[in-house]
Amino acid sequence: MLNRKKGLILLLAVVLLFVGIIAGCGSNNEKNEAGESSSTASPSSKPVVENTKPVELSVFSWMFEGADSQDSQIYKYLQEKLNIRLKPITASWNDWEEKLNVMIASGEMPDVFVSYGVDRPVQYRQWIKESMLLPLSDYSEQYPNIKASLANFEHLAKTTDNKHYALPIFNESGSGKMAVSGHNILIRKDWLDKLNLEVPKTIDEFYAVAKAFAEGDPDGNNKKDTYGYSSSAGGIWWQYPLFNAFDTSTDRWEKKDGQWAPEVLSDETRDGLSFLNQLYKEKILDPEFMLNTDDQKIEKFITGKVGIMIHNANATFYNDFYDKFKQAYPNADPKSIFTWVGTLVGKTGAQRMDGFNNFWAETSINANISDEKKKKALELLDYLLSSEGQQLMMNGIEGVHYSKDGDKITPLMTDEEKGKDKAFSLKALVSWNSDFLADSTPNKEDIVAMAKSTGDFAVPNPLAYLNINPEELDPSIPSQLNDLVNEKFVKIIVESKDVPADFASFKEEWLSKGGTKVIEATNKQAQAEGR
Amino acid sequence: MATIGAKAVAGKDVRRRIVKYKMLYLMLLPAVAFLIIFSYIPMYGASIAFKEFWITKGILGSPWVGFKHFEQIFATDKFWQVFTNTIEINLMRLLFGFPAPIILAILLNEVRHRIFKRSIQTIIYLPHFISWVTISGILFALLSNEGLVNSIIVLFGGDPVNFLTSNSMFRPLLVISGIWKEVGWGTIIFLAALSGVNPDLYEASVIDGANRWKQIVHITLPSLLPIISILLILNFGSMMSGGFDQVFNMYNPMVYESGDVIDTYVYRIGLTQGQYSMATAIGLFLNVINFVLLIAVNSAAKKMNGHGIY
Repeated sequence: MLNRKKGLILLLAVVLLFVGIIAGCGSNNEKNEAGESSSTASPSSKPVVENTKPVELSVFSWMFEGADSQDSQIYKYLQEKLNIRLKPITASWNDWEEKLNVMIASGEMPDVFVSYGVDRPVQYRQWIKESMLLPLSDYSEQYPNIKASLANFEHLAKTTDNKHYALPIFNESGSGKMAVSGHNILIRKDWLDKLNLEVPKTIDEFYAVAKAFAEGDPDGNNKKDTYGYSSSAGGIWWQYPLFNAFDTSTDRWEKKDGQWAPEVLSDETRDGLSFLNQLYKEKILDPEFMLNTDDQKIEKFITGKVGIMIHNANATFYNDFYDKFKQAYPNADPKSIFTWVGTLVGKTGAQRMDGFNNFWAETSINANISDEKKKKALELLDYLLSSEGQQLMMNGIEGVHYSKDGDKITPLMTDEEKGKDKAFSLKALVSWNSDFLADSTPNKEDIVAMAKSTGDFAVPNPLAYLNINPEELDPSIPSQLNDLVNEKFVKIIVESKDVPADFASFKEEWLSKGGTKVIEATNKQAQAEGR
Repeated sequence: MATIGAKAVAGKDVRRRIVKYKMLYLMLLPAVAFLIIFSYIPMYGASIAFKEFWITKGILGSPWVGFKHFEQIFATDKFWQVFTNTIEINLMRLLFGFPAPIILAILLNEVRHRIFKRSIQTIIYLPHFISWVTISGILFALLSNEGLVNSIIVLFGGDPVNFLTSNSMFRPLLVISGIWKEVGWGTIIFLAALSGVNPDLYEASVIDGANRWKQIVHITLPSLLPIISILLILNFGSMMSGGFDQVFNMYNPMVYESGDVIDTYVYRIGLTQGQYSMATAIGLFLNVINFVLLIAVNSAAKKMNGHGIY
């Protein structure tokens, strides 16, 4: 009797477990209610009538956590203003790309989503090839703000049959700049003062100062335990402002006698390597420059192991360094300890700073949703780009987040309180406004001046997003070559006894491992795109 | 339902056995279902290694391209470099890392002081729970130019050694740090096997005049042999995976030539950027090698000592 009972319970348990497993397969769909978007549905041909029922739109990004909270004023305001119901889908920064790919691969593309867009050319062009993305430029006549924003990024359309399939999320609004720079050369001001030196303005002064930092005991402990300059993240990438001072780079192209040539093979690059090799030999360059993580590099700079580093330098980073120095040296003003160098005057007498495109992510709209949804999605982006929408996302709602007196805006909340409303993150569908600093930002004047010192010299990549057909050139070859460059250059800086000879053999290797083909394909495509 | 054991049984017998042991079969059901649903059904996805994958057409509808992706992979000489690196590093790991927990387990087994034995056990398996990110941080602090080890070398009048950027040091560093991290964890299974050895055997051998060494050779080791061979075979089955976490956190461009493994290279070249077919092709290629190795080593082991994993 007892045994039977036991058996029944066991049976029940097993069946339950089994059902659980089967159900587990189907439960993925419950989490991301991607509306009724399905990858095969053709756009409905119903006439679009503005009905009173709000239209549902799923929006995907890594930062929309809590954007649909019931007590969010911004969220409510947007819904009422545009008559939509936004359904945020979110993921963590670490796996958002993967999650998006899985959603798309399983036929559940969100209605509106953020991705790296053209920065992931293989994938982006595949989406376009399969007509999964809405060609935004076809609609830009009806949406003036989208049109105006896309006009800043004309060169992107060249690579995708002259149409925009994604809206770049611009970093700096209204600057009209193609390229921006978020980096700077940072230097220990207290060391300069101690050794009676000025902030270096040219590449030669940079060398003199770095040498003095390594040899002149700037920390005054009577030991030779400091380095002039350090770097991180594999060793080559962060050196680009120094290569720029030689009017070259390790990853861009220049036009020579009507042909595009990779700057990585140029004599100027060889000179840049000789310069760094000399720094290494003279023990001015931190011998662990290729080992450091970014955090270790910053730590060495703050604890006084090295005097110069190149790193991100926007408001967040500046204030982070400021606070760290405050902690490390409680009795000193951080501004007397560190400052920025800006763009060095190079060997040619010109100032060059390789800038980045004025965006790093893009927003796309699913091409296979109902016309009504498409209309609403476009309206949403257009509204967020309008001055009213930008104003709403920066300052909030009048009477709730701020009060207005003529032109003067007075916040009614602290930034922290304002930050509780997660719906402000929805602005990131169209812009970061990284140049917008609230008046309450600490050290605002310094930060603006610092950003200008490199931003004003930022040059765009002349061949950005060149659309080379993968049939012509296997897309993994350029990344293999970049990898080779990083490896060989670090080795030349550290080990080379004869830079010109080693550089010559590197050139041969680069050309033989697919470089020749890359040059050919690049020129062919550049000609086709009229660059 | 599959038959159990090597003997083929007539259908009627099978039915009778299932009825007889219905509870056991019922308990087996979830595991079998799990395997079918999560291991076997998804396998058809491996076919995209031979296809040009279109998202909208799905896996089955994408056009076949034959061995195109494999040709692309094998055409790069760098791939063969990381391929041989992977094998060499894993052989070193096997040679030094595999016997370590066995030796340690036997040594611990000889310790008679219970409290001492327990605490040693706990201390040595703790590193298993530290991530490679942390361990590489500790290693850098120890081995960097101003690190502890170099400070000691300089104190005795030597020149600092660049442990982290020298190709001759990198592999030993991988193997040693790997042993340090996993050896304690590895001993658990061997100690468990040893606790199951019948004490009568030891008593009998003592009466026959066996000393401690003889006991280890004739009783302890033979009792461990089945589990040793199973683990060895399983180890061969992961010959092609390079331990991404460890290498990725410890290497740098200076030691690519000795330390770059397939996992890290593929990661850097960015096959993750939506190149599904290419990534699948590499994965498939490595799995086929692993599979062949596993089968080969298993049959060799069975010939040698009759213990295999199946």
